[in-house]
Amino acid sequence: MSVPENGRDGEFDALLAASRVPVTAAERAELRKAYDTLSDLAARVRAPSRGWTAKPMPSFAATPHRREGR
Amino acid sequence: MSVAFPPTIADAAVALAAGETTAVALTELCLARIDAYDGTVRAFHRVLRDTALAAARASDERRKAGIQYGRMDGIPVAVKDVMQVENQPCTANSRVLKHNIAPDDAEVVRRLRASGAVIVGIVDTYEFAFGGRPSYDALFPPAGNPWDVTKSTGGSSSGCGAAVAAGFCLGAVGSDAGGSIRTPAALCGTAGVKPTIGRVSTAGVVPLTFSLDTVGPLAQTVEDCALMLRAMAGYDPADQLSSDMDVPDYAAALTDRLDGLRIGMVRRFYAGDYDSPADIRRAYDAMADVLSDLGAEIVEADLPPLMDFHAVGRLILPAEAYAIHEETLQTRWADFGPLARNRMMLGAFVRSSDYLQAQRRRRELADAVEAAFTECDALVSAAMLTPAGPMDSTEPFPFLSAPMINVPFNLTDHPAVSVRCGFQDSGMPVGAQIVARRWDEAGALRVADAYERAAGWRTARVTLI
Repeated sequence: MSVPENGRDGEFDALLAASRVPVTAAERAELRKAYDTLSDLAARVRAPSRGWTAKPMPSFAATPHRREGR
Repeated sequence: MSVAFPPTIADAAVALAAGETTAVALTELCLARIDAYDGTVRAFHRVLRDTALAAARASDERRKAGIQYGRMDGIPVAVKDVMQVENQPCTANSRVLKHNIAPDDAEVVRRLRASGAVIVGIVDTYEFAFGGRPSYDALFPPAGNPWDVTKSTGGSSSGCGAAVAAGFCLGAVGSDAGGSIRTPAALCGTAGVKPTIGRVSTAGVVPLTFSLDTVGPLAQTVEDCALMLRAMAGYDPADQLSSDMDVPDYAAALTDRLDGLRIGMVRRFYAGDYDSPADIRRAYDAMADVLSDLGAEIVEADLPPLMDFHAVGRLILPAEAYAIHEETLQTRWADFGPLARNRMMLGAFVRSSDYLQAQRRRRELADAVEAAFTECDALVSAAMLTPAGPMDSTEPFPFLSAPMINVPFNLTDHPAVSVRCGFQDSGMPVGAQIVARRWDEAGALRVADAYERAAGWRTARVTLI
Protein backbone atom coordinates (compact mmCIF):
# COMPACT_ATOMS: atom_id res chain seq x y z
CA MET A 1 0.00 0.00 0.00
CA SER A 2 1.46 3.31 -1.04
CA VAL A 3 1.36 6.07 1.59
CA PRO A 4 1.71 9.78 0.76
CA GLU A 5 5.25 10.94 1.56
CA ASN A 6 4.17 13.39 4.24
CA GLY A 7 2.11 10.60 5.81
CA ARG A 8 5.31 8.91 6.87
CA ASP A 9 6.99 11.98 8.32
CA GLY A 10 5.81 11.29 11.84
CA GLU A 11 6.94 7.67 11.94
CA PHE A 12 10.26 8.58 10.30
CA ASP A 13 10.91 11.30 12.87
CA ALA A 14 9.98 8.97 15.73
CA LEU A 15 12.20 6.15 14.53
CA LEU A 16 15.11 8.51 13.93
CA ALA A 17 14.72 10.02 17.41
CA ALA A 18 14.51 6.55 18.95
CA SER A 19 17.79 5.59 17.31
CA ARG A 20 19.64 8.37 19.20
CA VAL A 21 22.04 8.60 16.27
CA PRO A 22 23.18 12.18 15.55
CA VAL A 23 22.70 12.40 11.76
CA THR A 24 23.35 15.66 9.95
CA ALA A 25 20.55 17.66 8.33
CA ALA A 26 21.69 16.67 4.84
CA GLU A 27 21.85 13.01 5.79
CA ARG A 28 18.45 13.23 7.42
CA ALA A 29 16.98 14.46 4.13
CA GLU A 30 18.53 11.55 2.21
CA LEU A 31 17.38 9.05 4.83
CA ARG A 32 13.85 10.47 4.67
CA LYS A 33 13.75 9.74 0.92
CA ALA A 34 15.17 6.27 1.45
CA TYR A 35 12.57 5.60 4.14
CA ASP A 36 9.79 5.73 1.57
CA THR A 37 11.53 3.12 -0.57
CA LEU A 38 12.19 0.98 2.49
CA SER A 39 8.54 1.23 3.54
CA ASP A 40 7.39 0.11 0.10
CA LEU A 41 9.74 -2.89 0.32
CA ALA A 42 8.34 -3.68 3.77
CA ALA A 43 4.84 -3.69 2.32
CA ARG A 44 6.00 -6.09 -0.40
CA VAL A 45 7.10 -8.81 2.02
CA ARG A 46 3.74 -8.87 3.79
CA ALA A 47 0.97 -11.23 2.64
CA PRO A 48 -2.48 -10.99 4.28
CA SER A 49 -3.18 -14.56 3.20
CA ARG A 50 -0.11 -15.93 4.98
CA GLY A 51 -1.21 -18.17 7.82
CA TRP A 52 -0.04 -17.93 11.41
CA THR A 53 1.80 -21.20 11.01
CA ALA A 54 4.18 -19.66 8.45
CA LYS A 55 7.32 -19.24 10.55
CA PRO A 56 10.35 -17.02 9.98
CA MET A 57 13.40 -18.53 8.37
CA PRO A 58 15.36 -20.32 11.08
CA SER A 59 18.44 -18.21 10.61
CA PHE A 60 19.76 -18.51 14.11
CA ALA A 61 20.87 -21.86 15.48
CA ALA A 62 21.44 -22.36 19.20
CA THR A 63 23.63 -25.33 18.37
CA PRO A 64 25.71 -26.03 15.27
CA HIS A 65 24.14 -27.52 12.17
CA ARG A 66 24.59 -31.25 12.38
CA ARG A 67 24.74 -33.83 9.69
CA GLU A 68 21.30 -35.24 8.90
CA GLY A 69 20.57 -38.46 10.75
CA ARG A 70 22.85 -37.76 13.68
CA MET B 1 59.28 -3.29 -17.46
CA SER B 2 56.31 -5.65 -17.26
CA VAL B 3 56.11 -8.36 -14.61
CA ALA B 4 54.74 -11.76 -15.66
CA PHE B 5 51.24 -12.83 -14.61
CA PRO B 6 51.40 -15.62 -12.01
CA PRO B 7 50.10 -19.12 -12.80
CA THR B 8 46.86 -20.58 -11.49
CA ILE B 9 46.98 -22.38 -8.16
CA ALA B 10 46.55 -25.73 -9.91
CA ASP B 11 49.43 -25.06 -12.33
CA ALA B 12 51.63 -23.67 -9.56
CA ALA B 13 51.02 -26.79 -7.46
CA VAL B 14 52.15 -28.97 -10.38
CA ALA B 15 55.24 -26.81 -10.95
CA LEU B 16 56.10 -26.86 -7.23
CA ALA B 17 55.76 -30.64 -7.09
CA ALA B 18 57.95 -31.00 -10.18
CA GLY B 19 60.62 -28.72 -8.73
CA GLU B 20 60.13 -26.24 -11.58
CA THR B 21 59.42 -23.34 -9.22
CA THR B 22 59.54 -22.54 -5.52
CA ALA B 23 57.18 -20.92 -3.06
CA VAL B 24 59.72 -18.12 -2.66
CA ALA B 25 59.76 -17.52 -6.43
CA LEU B 26 55.93 -17.42 -6.56
CA THR B 27 55.79 -15.04 -3.60
CA GLU B 28 58.48 -12.79 -5.04
CA LEU B 29 56.56 -12.70 -8.33
CA CYS B 30 53.40 -11.56 -6.54
CA LEU B 31 55.35 -8.97 -4.53
CA ALA B 32 56.97 -7.68 -7.73
CA ARG B 33 53.56 -7.23 -9.34
CA ILE B 34 52.26 -5.47 -6.24
CA ASP B 35 55.29 -3.15 -6.32
CA ALA B 36 54.81 -2.47 -10.01
CA TYR B 37 51.05 -2.03 -10.24
CA ASP B 38 49.30 -1.63 -6.90
CA GLY B 39 49.97 2.09 -6.83
CA THR B 40 47.31 2.25 -9.53
CA VAL B 41 45.00 -0.58 -8.45
CA ARG B 42 45.14 0.05 -4.65
CA ALA B 43 44.07 -3.49 -3.76
CA PHE B 44 46.26 -3.78 -0.64
CA HIS B 45 45.82 -2.17 2.75
CA ARG B 46 48.96 -3.91 3.97
CA VAL B 47 51.58 -6.07 2.24
CA LEU B 48 53.06 -8.69 4.59
CA ARG B 49 56.35 -8.94 2.70
CA ASP B 50 58.62 -10.31 5.43
CA THR B 51 56.24 -12.83 6.94
CA ALA B 52 55.13 -13.97 3.47
CA LEU B 53 58.71 -14.64 2.38
CA ALA B 54 59.41 -16.43 5.67
CA ALA B 55 56.34 -18.65 5.16
CA ALA B 56 57.39 -19.32 1.57
CA ARG B 57 60.90 -20.30 2.67
CA ALA B 58 59.40 -22.66 5.26
CA SER B 59 57.24 -24.24 2.55
CA ASP B 60 60.27 -24.76 0.31
CA GLU B 61 62.22 -26.30 3.19
CA ARG B 62 59.34 -28.70 3.90
CA ARG B 63 59.25 -29.72 0.28
CA LYS B 64 63.00 -30.35 0.24
CA ALA B 65 62.54 -32.53 3.32
CA GLY B 66 59.88 -34.56 1.52
CA ILE B 67 56.98 -33.07 3.50
CA GLN B 68 54.07 -31.43 1.69
CA TYR B 69 50.83 -30.29 3.30
CA GLY B 70 48.81 -30.37 0.06
CA ARG B 71 48.28 -28.43 -3.15
CA MET B 72 47.91 -25.12 -1.30
CA ASP B 73 51.38 -25.48 0.23
CA GLY B 74 53.47 -22.50 -0.89
CA ILE B 75 50.59 -20.69 -2.65
CA PRO B 76 50.44 -16.88 -2.06
CA VAL B 77 46.97 -15.68 -1.06
CA ALA B 78 45.51 -12.41 0.23
CA VAL B 79 42.78 -11.87 2.82
CA LYS B 80 40.05 -9.26 2.98
CA ASP B 81 40.49 -6.66 5.70
CA VAL B 82 37.67 -8.07 7.80
CA MET B 83 39.55 -11.29 8.62
CA GLN B 84 41.86 -11.28 11.61
CA VAL B 85 45.53 -11.85 10.82
CA GLU B 86 47.54 -12.27 14.02
CA ASN B 87 49.29 -9.09 15.22
CA GLN B 88 48.11 -7.13 12.17
CA PRO B 89 45.56 -4.30 11.95
CA CYS B 90 42.04 -5.52 11.18
CA THR B 91 40.25 -2.32 10.21
CA ALA B 92 37.27 -3.32 8.04
CA ASN B 93 38.36 -0.15 6.19
CA SER B 94 36.84 1.98 8.95
CA ARG B 95 38.27 4.67 11.19
CA VAL B 96 36.18 2.99 13.89
CA LEU B 97 38.67 0.08 13.86
CA LYS B 98 41.73 2.05 12.80
CA HIS B 99 43.72 0.94 15.85
CA ASN B 100 42.32 -2.59 16.12
CA ILE B 101 45.15 -5.15 16.18
CA ALA B 102 44.09 -8.77 15.77
CA PRO B 103 45.15 -10.90 18.74
CA ASP B 104 45.07 -14.07 16.66
CA ASP B 105 44.18 -15.45 13.24
CA ALA B 106 40.60 -15.89 12.04
CA GLU B 107 39.87 -19.60 11.79
CA VAL B 108 39.90 -19.47 7.99
CA VAL B 109 43.33 -17.81 8.03
CA ARG B 110 44.57 -20.40 10.52
CA ARG B 111 43.35 -23.20 8.24
CA LEU B 112 45.01 -21.66 5.20
CA ARG B 113 48.29 -21.31 7.06
CA ALA B 114 47.95 -24.93 8.21
CA SER B 115 47.57 -25.94 4.55
CA GLY B 116 50.89 -24.19 3.82
CA ALA B 117 49.38 -21.17 2.07
CA VAL B 118 51.42 -17.96 2.19
CA ILE B 119 49.50 -14.89 3.43
CA VAL B 120 50.89 -12.18 1.17
CA GLY B 121 48.77 -9.30 2.48
CA ILE B 122 45.51 -7.73 3.60
CA VAL B 123 43.29 -6.31 0.88
CA ASP B 124 40.57 -3.71 0.48
CA THR B 125 36.94 -3.98 1.56
CA TYR B 126 34.06 -1.58 1.42
CA GLU B 127 33.69 -0.14 4.93
CA PHE B 128 32.45 -2.87 7.29
CA ALA B 129 31.82 -5.09 4.25
CA PHE B 130 28.67 -3.23 3.28
CA GLY B 131 28.27 -3.41 -0.51
CA GLY B 132 26.89 -0.79 -2.84
CA ARG B 133 29.53 1.37 -4.48
CA PRO B 134 33.12 2.51 -3.92
CA SER B 135 33.70 5.48 -1.66
CA TYR B 136 36.64 7.72 -0.84
CA ASP B 137 35.24 8.56 2.59
CA ALA B 138 36.49 5.44 4.40
CA LEU B 139 39.88 4.73 6.02
CA PHE B 140 41.54 3.59 2.77
CA PRO B 141 40.71 4.66 -0.81
CA PRO B 142 38.79 2.07 -2.83
CA ALA B 143 40.49 -0.50 -5.07
CA GLY B 144 40.05 0.06 -8.79
CA ASN B 145 39.01 -2.58 -11.30
CA PRO B 146 42.20 -3.87 -13.01
CA TRP B 147 40.35 -4.11 -16.34
CA ASP B 148 39.69 -0.35 -16.12
CA VAL B 149 40.78 1.42 -12.95
CA THR B 150 38.22 4.17 -13.48
CA LYS B 151 35.53 1.54 -12.89
CA SER B 152 34.30 -0.11 -9.71
CA THR B 153 35.36 -3.58 -8.66
CA GLY B 154 32.00 -4.12 -7.02
CA GLY B 155 31.98 -5.01 -3.38
CA SER B 156 32.37 -5.52 -0.70
CA SER B 157 35.35 -7.87 -1.31
CA SER B 158 36.77 -5.22 -3.63
CA GLY B 159 40.43 -5.88 -2.86
CA CYS B 160 40.02 -9.63 -3.36
CA GLY B 161 38.57 -9.20 -6.84
CA ALA B 162 41.14 -6.56 -7.75
CA ALA B 163 44.15 -8.46 -6.35
CA VAL B 164 43.28 -11.76 -8.04
CA ALA B 165 42.41 -10.11 -11.37
CA ALA B 166 45.63 -8.09 -11.24
CA GLY B 167 47.78 -11.15 -10.46
CA PHE B 168 48.93 -9.83 -7.07
CA CYS B 169 48.17 -13.20 -5.49
CA LEU B 170 46.92 -16.57 -6.69
CA GLY B 171 43.79 -16.53 -4.55
CA ALA B 172 42.00 -14.41 -1.97
CA VAL B 173 39.60 -14.90 0.92
CA GLY B 174 36.43 -12.80 0.83
CA SER B 175 33.11 -12.64 2.64
CA ASP B 176 29.59 -12.56 1.21
CA ALA B 177 26.29 -11.66 2.91
CA GLY B 178 24.52 -10.20 -0.13
CA GLY B 179 26.87 -10.78 -3.06
CA SER B 180 30.15 -9.46 -1.69
CA ILE B 181 32.24 -12.27 -3.20
CA ARG B 182 30.25 -12.86 -6.39
CA THR B 183 29.88 -9.21 -7.39
CA PRO B 184 33.62 -8.38 -7.42
CA ALA B 185 34.34 -11.79 -8.94
CA ALA B 186 31.90 -11.02 -11.78
CA LEU B 187 33.00 -7.43 -12.35
CA CYS B 188 36.73 -8.28 -12.14
CA GLY B 189 36.47 -11.45 -14.22
CA THR B 190 37.56 -13.95 -11.57
CA ALA B 191 35.90 -17.02 -10.06
CA GLY B 192 34.45 -16.96 -6.56
CA VAL B 193 32.43 -19.13 -4.18
CA LYS B 194 29.72 -18.23 -1.69
CA PRO B 195 29.35 -21.45 0.28
CA THR B 196 26.44 -22.71 2.36
CA ILE B 197 26.29 -21.00 5.78
CA GLY B 198 28.35 -23.10 8.18
CA ARG B 199 30.69 -24.56 5.58
CA VAL B 200 33.53 -22.12 6.31
CA SER B 201 33.96 -20.69 9.80
CA THR B 202 33.27 -16.99 10.29
CA ALA B 203 35.08 -16.91 13.65
CA GLY B 204 37.52 -14.02 13.73
CA VAL B 205 35.76 -12.21 10.87
CA VAL B 206 34.22 -8.75 11.40
CA PRO B 207 30.50 -9.40 10.86
CA LEU B 208 28.11 -7.56 8.56
CA THR B 209 25.03 -9.58 9.57
CA PHE B 210 24.05 -12.40 11.91
CA SER B 211 22.05 -14.55 9.50
CA LEU B 212 23.68 -14.10 6.10
CA ASP B 213 27.47 -13.93 6.50
CA THR B 214 29.64 -16.47 4.67
CA VAL B 215 33.37 -16.70 3.92
CA GLY B 216 34.69 -18.04 0.63
CA PRO B 217 37.50 -17.97 -1.94
CA LEU B 218 38.17 -15.92 -5.08
CA ALA B 219 40.74 -17.11 -7.62
CA GLN B 220 41.58 -17.03 -11.31
CA THR B 221 39.67 -20.24 -12.07
CA VAL B 222 36.91 -22.37 -10.61
CA GLU B 223 39.38 -25.23 -10.09
CA ASP B 224 41.53 -22.92 -7.97
CA CYS B 225 38.49 -22.00 -5.88
CA ALA B 226 37.85 -25.73 -5.38
CA LEU B 227 41.38 -26.17 -4.06
CA MET B 228 41.09 -23.18 -1.75
CA LEU B 229 37.64 -24.10 -0.44
CA ARG B 230 38.81 -27.52 0.69
CA ALA B 231 41.59 -25.91 2.72
CA MET B 232 39.22 -23.30 4.19
CA ALA B 233 36.18 -25.44 5.06
CA GLY B 234 35.41 -27.56 8.11
CA TYR B 235 33.80 -27.60 11.52
CA ASP B 236 34.79 -24.93 14.04
CA PRO B 237 33.23 -24.95 17.51
CA ALA B 238 33.97 -21.22 17.80
CA ASP B 239 31.36 -20.50 15.09
CA GLN B 240 27.84 -21.19 16.37
CA LEU B 241 26.57 -21.86 12.86
CA SER B 242 29.48 -24.10 11.83
CA SER B 243 28.66 -27.52 10.45
CA ASP B 244 30.40 -30.84 10.88
CA MET B 245 29.40 -31.97 7.38
CA ASP B 246 32.20 -33.82 5.59
CA VAL B 247 34.37 -31.60 3.37
CA PRO B 248 34.72 -33.29 -0.02
CA ASP B 249 37.77 -33.15 -2.26
CA TYR B 250 36.15 -30.54 -4.50
CA ALA B 251 38.88 -30.57 -7.14
CA ALA B 252 38.72 -34.36 -7.48
CA ALA B 253 34.99 -34.12 -8.19
CA LEU B 254 35.44 -31.90 -11.26
CA THR B 255 34.56 -33.50 -14.61
CA ASP B 256 34.79 -32.51 -18.26
CA ARG B 257 31.23 -33.56 -19.10
CA LEU B 258 27.82 -32.77 -17.58
CA ASP B 259 25.84 -35.65 -19.08
CA GLY B 260 22.68 -36.48 -17.19
CA LEU B 261 22.41 -33.14 -15.40
CA ARG B 262 19.40 -30.88 -15.75
CA ILE B 263 20.29 -27.20 -15.46
CA GLY B 264 17.73 -24.43 -14.98
CA MET B 265 18.35 -20.99 -16.50
CA VAL B 266 16.96 -18.17 -14.33
CA ARG B 267 16.46 -15.90 -17.31
CA ARG B 268 13.76 -13.72 -15.79
CA PHE B 269 16.25 -12.11 -13.37
CA TYR B 270 18.23 -10.39 -16.15
CA ALA B 271 15.61 -10.27 -18.94
CA GLY B 272 12.22 -9.34 -17.52
CA ASP B 273 12.43 -8.59 -13.81
CA TYR B 274 15.36 -6.35 -14.73
CA ASP B 275 16.47 -5.67 -18.28
CA SER B 276 20.26 -5.87 -18.46
CA PRO B 277 22.10 -4.27 -21.38
CA ALA B 278 22.06 -6.40 -24.53
CA ASP B 279 25.73 -7.41 -24.39
CA ILE B 280 25.35 -8.73 -20.84
CA ARG B 281 22.11 -10.56 -21.71
CA ARG B 282 23.82 -12.16 -24.72
CA ALA B 283 26.62 -13.51 -22.53
CA TYR B 284 24.13 -15.19 -20.19
CA ASP B 285 21.94 -16.54 -22.97
CA ALA B 286 24.99 -18.04 -24.71
CA MET B 287 25.78 -20.14 -21.64
CA ALA B 288 22.89 -22.49 -22.42
CA ASP B 289 24.49 -23.69 -25.66
CA VAL B 290 27.83 -24.39 -24.00
CA LEU B 291 26.20 -26.31 -21.16
CA SER B 292 24.03 -28.23 -23.62
CA ASP B 293 27.11 -29.19 -25.66
CA LEU B 294 28.59 -30.57 -22.43
CA GLY B 295 25.65 -32.97 -22.19
CA ALA B 296 23.34 -31.13 -19.80
CA GLU B 297 19.62 -30.75 -20.37
CA ILE B 298 18.70 -27.06 -20.25
CA VAL B 299 15.34 -25.88 -18.91
CA GLU B 300 13.87 -22.54 -17.83
CA ALA B 301 13.76 -22.31 -14.03
CA ASP B 302 10.64 -20.81 -12.50
CA LEU B 303 11.63 -18.73 -9.48
CA PRO B 304 9.74 -15.88 -7.76
CA PRO B 305 10.40 -12.32 -9.01
CA LEU B 306 13.82 -10.87 -8.28
CA MET B 307 12.19 -7.90 -6.52
CA ASP B 308 10.71 -10.26 -3.93
CA PHE B 309 14.20 -11.44 -2.99
CA HIS B 310 15.47 -7.86 -3.15
CA ALA B 311 12.78 -6.59 -0.77
CA VAL B 312 13.60 -9.25 1.81
CA GLY B 313 17.33 -8.67 1.51
CA ARG B 314 17.02 -4.91 1.75
CA LEU B 315 15.13 -5.22 5.03
CA ILE B 316 17.14 -7.98 6.72
CA LEU B 317 20.64 -6.85 5.77
CA PRO B 318 20.58 -3.26 7.13
CA ALA B 319 18.51 -4.31 10.14
CA GLU B 320 21.14 -6.82 11.21
CA ALA B 321 24.04 -4.51 10.36
CA TYR B 322 22.42 -1.76 12.41
CA ALA B 323 21.95 -4.12 15.34
CA ILE B 324 25.67 -4.90 15.22
CA HIS B 325 26.80 -1.26 14.98
CA GLU B 326 24.01 0.62 16.81
CA GLU B 327 26.01 1.63 19.87
CA THR B 328 29.01 2.73 17.80
CA LEU B 329 26.77 4.71 15.47
CA GLN B 330 25.36 6.54 18.49
CA THR B 331 28.74 7.33 20.03
CA ARG B 332 31.21 7.50 17.13
CA TRP B 333 29.08 8.68 14.21
CA ALA B 334 31.86 10.86 12.83
CA ASP B 335 34.31 7.95 12.68
CA PHE B 336 32.23 6.16 10.04
CA GLY B 337 32.39 7.19 6.42
CA PRO B 338 29.12 8.91 5.49
CA LEU B 339 28.25 6.25 2.92
CA ALA B 340 28.61 3.32 5.35
CA ARG B 341 26.91 4.99 8.29
CA ASN B 342 23.87 5.99 6.26
CA ARG B 343 23.53 2.52 4.80
CA MET B 344 23.58 1.11 8.31
CA MET B 345 21.15 3.77 9.51
CA LEU B 346 18.50 2.33 7.21
CA GLY B 347 18.31 -0.50 9.73
CA ALA B 348 16.98 1.92 12.34
CA PHE B 349 13.86 2.28 10.20
CA VAL B 350 13.11 -1.44 9.90
CA ARG B 351 10.61 -2.24 12.63
CA SER B 352 10.61 -5.62 14.35
CA SER B 353 7.41 -6.62 12.55
CA ASP B 354 8.95 -5.66 9.18
CA TYR B 355 12.01 -7.74 10.01
CA LEU B 356 9.98 -10.80 11.01
CA GLN B 357 7.68 -10.52 8.01
CA ALA B 358 10.80 -10.40 5.85
CA GLN B 359 12.13 -13.54 7.54
CA ARG B 360 8.78 -15.27 6.92
CA ARG B 361 8.89 -14.27 3.25
CA ARG B 362 12.50 -15.45 3.21
CA ARG B 363 11.38 -18.96 4.15
CA GLU B 364 8.81 -18.97 1.33
CA LEU B 365 11.48 -17.89 -1.15
CA ALA B 366 13.85 -20.57 0.14
CA ASP B 367 11.10 -23.16 -0.31
CA ALA B 368 10.56 -21.96 -3.89
CA VAL B 369 14.24 -22.38 -4.72
CA GLU B 370 14.26 -25.79 -3.02
CA ALA B 371 11.31 -26.74 -5.24
CA ALA B 372 13.34 -25.76 -8.30
CA PHE B 373 16.01 -28.20 -7.17
CA THR B 374 13.52 -31.06 -7.31
CA GLU B 375 13.52 -30.45 -11.07
CA CYS B 376 17.10 -29.26 -11.61
CA ASP B 377 20.58 -30.21 -10.46
CA ALA B 378 21.89 -26.65 -10.80
CA LEU B 379 20.65 -23.17 -11.61
CA VAL B 380 22.37 -20.55 -13.77
CA SER B 381 21.72 -16.93 -12.84
CA ALA B 382 23.26 -13.56 -13.58
CA ALA B 383 25.91 -12.39 -11.09
CA MET B 384 25.70 -8.76 -12.31
CA LEU B 385 22.90 -6.82 -13.98
CA THR B 386 24.79 -3.74 -15.11
CA PRO B 387 28.34 -2.78 -16.09
CA ALA B 388 30.76 -1.79 -13.34
CA GLY B 389 29.90 1.71 -12.12
CA PRO B 390 32.26 4.68 -12.03
CA MET B 391 34.66 5.16 -9.11
CA ASP B 392 33.38 8.68 -8.39
CA SER B 393 29.67 8.00 -7.93
CA THR B 394 28.10 9.92 -5.02
CA GLU B 395 24.68 8.26 -5.02
CA PRO B 396 23.80 7.74 -1.32
CA PHE B 397 21.68 4.61 -1.64
CA PRO B 398 22.42 2.95 -5.00
CA PHE B 399 21.16 -0.41 -3.80
CA LEU B 400 17.64 0.87 -3.21
CA SER B 401 17.06 1.60 -6.89
CA ALA B 402 18.46 -1.50 -8.64
CA PRO B 403 17.64 -5.01 -7.42
CA MET B 404 20.33 -7.06 -5.73
CA ILE B 405 21.10 -9.87 -8.15
CA ASN B 406 23.21 -11.96 -5.78
CA VAL B 407 21.17 -11.74 -2.57
CA PRO B 408 18.61 -14.43 -3.51
CA PHE B 409 20.98 -17.28 -2.74
CA ASN B 410 22.24 -15.66 0.47
CA LEU B 411 18.64 -15.57 1.65
CA THR B 412 17.93 -19.15 0.62
CA ASP B 413 21.38 -20.38 1.78
CA HIS B 414 22.29 -22.18 -1.43
CA PRO B 415 25.96 -22.37 -2.48
CA ALA B 416 26.81 -20.31 -5.56
CA VAL B 417 29.92 -20.14 -7.74
CA SER B 418 30.66 -17.04 -9.79
CA VAL B 419 32.28 -17.79 -13.14
CA ARG B 420 33.33 -15.56 -16.02
CA CYS B 421 30.96 -16.01 -18.98
CA GLY B 422 32.27 -13.52 -21.53
CA PHE B 423 32.99 -9.87 -22.08
CA GLN B 424 30.91 -6.76 -22.64
CA ASP B 425 31.30 -4.68 -25.79
CA SER B 426 33.53 -2.41 -23.69
CA GLY B 427 35.96 -5.27 -23.02
CA MET B 428 34.95 -5.56 -19.34
CA PRO B 429 34.14 -9.06 -18.07
CA VAL B 430 30.72 -10.57 -17.40
CA GLY B 431 30.15 -13.06 -14.59
CA ALA B 432 27.38 -15.58 -14.01
CA GLN B 433 26.59 -17.68 -10.94
CA ILE B 434 26.02 -21.41 -10.80
CA VAL B 435 23.83 -22.41 -7.86
CA ALA B 436 23.40 -25.89 -6.36
CA ARG B 437 21.53 -27.60 -3.55
CA ARG B 438 22.48 -26.77 0.05
CA TRP B 439 25.86 -28.22 0.96
CA ASP B 440 26.49 -29.22 -2.66
CA GLU B 441 29.34 -26.80 -3.33
CA ALA B 442 30.89 -29.71 -5.22
CA GLY B 443 27.97 -29.78 -7.66
CA ALA B 444 28.12 -26.03 -8.31
CA LEU B 445 31.90 -26.18 -8.77
CA ARG B 446 31.58 -29.12 -11.17
CA VAL B 447 29.14 -27.31 -13.47
CA ALA B 448 31.07 -24.02 -13.28
CA ASP B 449 34.43 -25.68 -13.98
CA ALA B 450 33.16 -27.70 -16.96
CA TYR B 451 31.54 -24.56 -18.36
CA GLU B 452 34.66 -22.47 -17.78
CA ARG B 453 36.90 -24.98 -19.60
CA ALA B 454 34.53 -25.23 -22.55
CA ALA B 455 33.62 -21.56 -22.90
CA GLY B 456 37.03 -20.35 -24.02
CA TRP B 457 37.81 -17.45 -21.67
CA ARG B 458 39.59 -19.42 -18.95
CA THR B 459 43.08 -18.14 -19.75
CA ALA B 460 42.20 -14.51 -20.53
CA ARG B 461 44.04 -12.19 -18.13
CA VAL B 462 44.20 -8.45 -17.69
CA THR B 463 47.26 -6.56 -18.97
CA LEU B 464 48.54 -3.89 -16.59
CA ILE B 465 50.94 -1.16 -17.65
